Amino acid sequence: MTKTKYEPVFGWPNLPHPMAFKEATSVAVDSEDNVYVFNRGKWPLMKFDCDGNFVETWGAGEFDRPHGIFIDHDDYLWLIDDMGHFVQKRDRKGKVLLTLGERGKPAPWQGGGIFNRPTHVAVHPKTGDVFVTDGYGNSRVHRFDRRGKHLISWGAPGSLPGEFSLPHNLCLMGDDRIVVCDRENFRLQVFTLDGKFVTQHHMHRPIAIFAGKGADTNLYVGEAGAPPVQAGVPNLGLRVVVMDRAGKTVTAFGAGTSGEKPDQFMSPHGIAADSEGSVYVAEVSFTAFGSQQNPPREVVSMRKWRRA
Amino acid sequence: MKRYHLRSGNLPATRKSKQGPVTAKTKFEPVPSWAKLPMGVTFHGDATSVAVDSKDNVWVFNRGSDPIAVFDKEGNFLRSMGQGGFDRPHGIEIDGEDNLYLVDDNGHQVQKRTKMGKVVWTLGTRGKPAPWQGGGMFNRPTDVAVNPANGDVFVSDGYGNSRVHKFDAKGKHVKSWGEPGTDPGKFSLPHNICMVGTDRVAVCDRENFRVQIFTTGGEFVAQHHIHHPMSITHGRGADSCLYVGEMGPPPVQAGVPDLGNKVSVITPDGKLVTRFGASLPGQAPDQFTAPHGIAVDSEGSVYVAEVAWTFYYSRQPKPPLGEVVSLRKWKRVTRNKDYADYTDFDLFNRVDESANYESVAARGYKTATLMTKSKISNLCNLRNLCSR
Repeated sequence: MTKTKYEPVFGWPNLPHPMAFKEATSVAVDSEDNVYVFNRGKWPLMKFDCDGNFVETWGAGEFDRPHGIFIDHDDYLWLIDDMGHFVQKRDRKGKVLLTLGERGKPAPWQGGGIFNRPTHVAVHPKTGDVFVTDGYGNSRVHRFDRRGKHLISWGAPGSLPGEFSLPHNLCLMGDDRIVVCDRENFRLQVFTLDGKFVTQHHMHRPIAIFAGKGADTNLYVGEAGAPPVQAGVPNLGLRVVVMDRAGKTVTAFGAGTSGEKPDQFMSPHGIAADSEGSVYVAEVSFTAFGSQQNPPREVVSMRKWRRA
Repeated sequence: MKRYHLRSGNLPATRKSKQGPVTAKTKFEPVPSWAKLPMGVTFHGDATSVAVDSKDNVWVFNRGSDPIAVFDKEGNFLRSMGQGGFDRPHGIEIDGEDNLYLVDDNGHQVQKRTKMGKVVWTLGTRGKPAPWQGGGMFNRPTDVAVNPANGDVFVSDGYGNSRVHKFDAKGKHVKSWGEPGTDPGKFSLPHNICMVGTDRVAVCDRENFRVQIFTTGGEFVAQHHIHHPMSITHGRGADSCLYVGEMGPPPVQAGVPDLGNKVSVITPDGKLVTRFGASLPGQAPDQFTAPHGIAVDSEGSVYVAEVAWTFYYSRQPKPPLGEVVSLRKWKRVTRNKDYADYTDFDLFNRVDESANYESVAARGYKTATLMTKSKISNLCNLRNLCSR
């Protein structure tokens, strides 16, 4: 069997002048292969078709700091605002249907409440249950029912199985497992839907994860780069690893060095795939790189890799 | 009685132990203010690295006034040496004949010295780094391990090279392995190294959050996921466990409890046996700030040398004035008498890979009469783990 190959698409998407992402942050794809980019610029939600043509924007002024976006099986959008400490369900036109947490009201730091800088969300395809990684200030995963009623939470700060050091992203695997990017513990953790630890997979700073849809059972994991002490050393993260459900690597892509070239990543932060198997990666490259330039400038923060 | 020393001639005296393997029930307790420093001798907050000799004296290779400081096991200062001889102390190891192996990271060199301080050989040239990530010798090496069977030397290298170099006992380069990366056999800051028995080496692949196990020929054997492993050493005698010092989290997780700043005791195949250290970093006796070097003495007590100033206090908004704690002793409390006074060569090499209780007992060894069946079986399992 030949290995699946991916090739970078140059300059995706086309941004109507003068719209900009500042940094793209996160990305999701609906059932019609429209691509939604949740970003930290003046136009926080931008919608494109899969060829990168701009469709529409909404949400200006309605978020403190965009962090994650997820689109569920019914094409509803779930938006995570980490500095705003809330998670919102909206329809594709931007109408708010449900809000979890209260904007600007964090739960006590590392206290286990809802939320302190949540990072991402996943929705169960059958029950509609909602799972939230929380996040920068809480070391927890929370589970809600489809109406937003809190069911359970699990996790604590630490590095043992079932503990977290910055749970940064999550996805459903099939309909009975939750996979969490335990970013600063350099591992994925796999749980049952009730929060029982199943296994862990060692990785390099896993920061973003997406579960393939339909017949595609693979997981797509974005690996963040190395800490400052290893700056410039090649092949430390900055790639997308495609793995099977047992955690075995199928393939990986990305140059393994930081930069703006089409095959490089600077800080992969959100990931999604469309029905053709093409992979979209949103980066927080302004935070990681652009903000440190003199003068600061916006750099490439959205990538598309076509499945060849 | 016939003695089995399967692999070498000299029995490494430093490996003697009065303790058996660490178990989940083994307790360690901190010894507050263990080292007694004469006025004028200071670690400058960076005791950095530590090793124990055959007499249980404790050698601290540090970044203070006296680069090599020697203490007895009660913490009394004995002597010091090495002033002016190093750019920045980083790692120390002591072999079975009490020779010292000293790693100077910013000096880019590794030295073997006698216990009197006389230089036997020097690897690398002081102040002359090999090209960054180029695979040469050295670019900011970090630590050294010595094979008790044949004197082979293994150097982790380090901040600028992503390699392990192997030398023979005379310092002749044998081979090197590794490259930058995250796959098995690659490194992101190999920061510490120790022997596992006589046929495996364990490497703290610090920024990859794992310990990698290799054959002495550099073949990858296994990886053990662990939080930010910074220092590693092996137990003594029948204690085949590995002791791993875990560094704290990156700045984004500063202040979050239970992330590193602990010592984890693991089996050679990576199972967690026990851990010690408080939830948060600090100066209290049970806390760590950056467990950078680690060693175990014949009583099973654990010494941890920290780079408290460099890695922790110098990065605080208001660094404290004066000396900060950077050397710790944790005393092993329980004792398993049945393993008393046997060396690892006695215990590991009396039993071969296929050994079990019956085959050991059949050979009529004294150990078999002293130990219970379950303990012999446990020993055989340990031996098999080490040889796998």
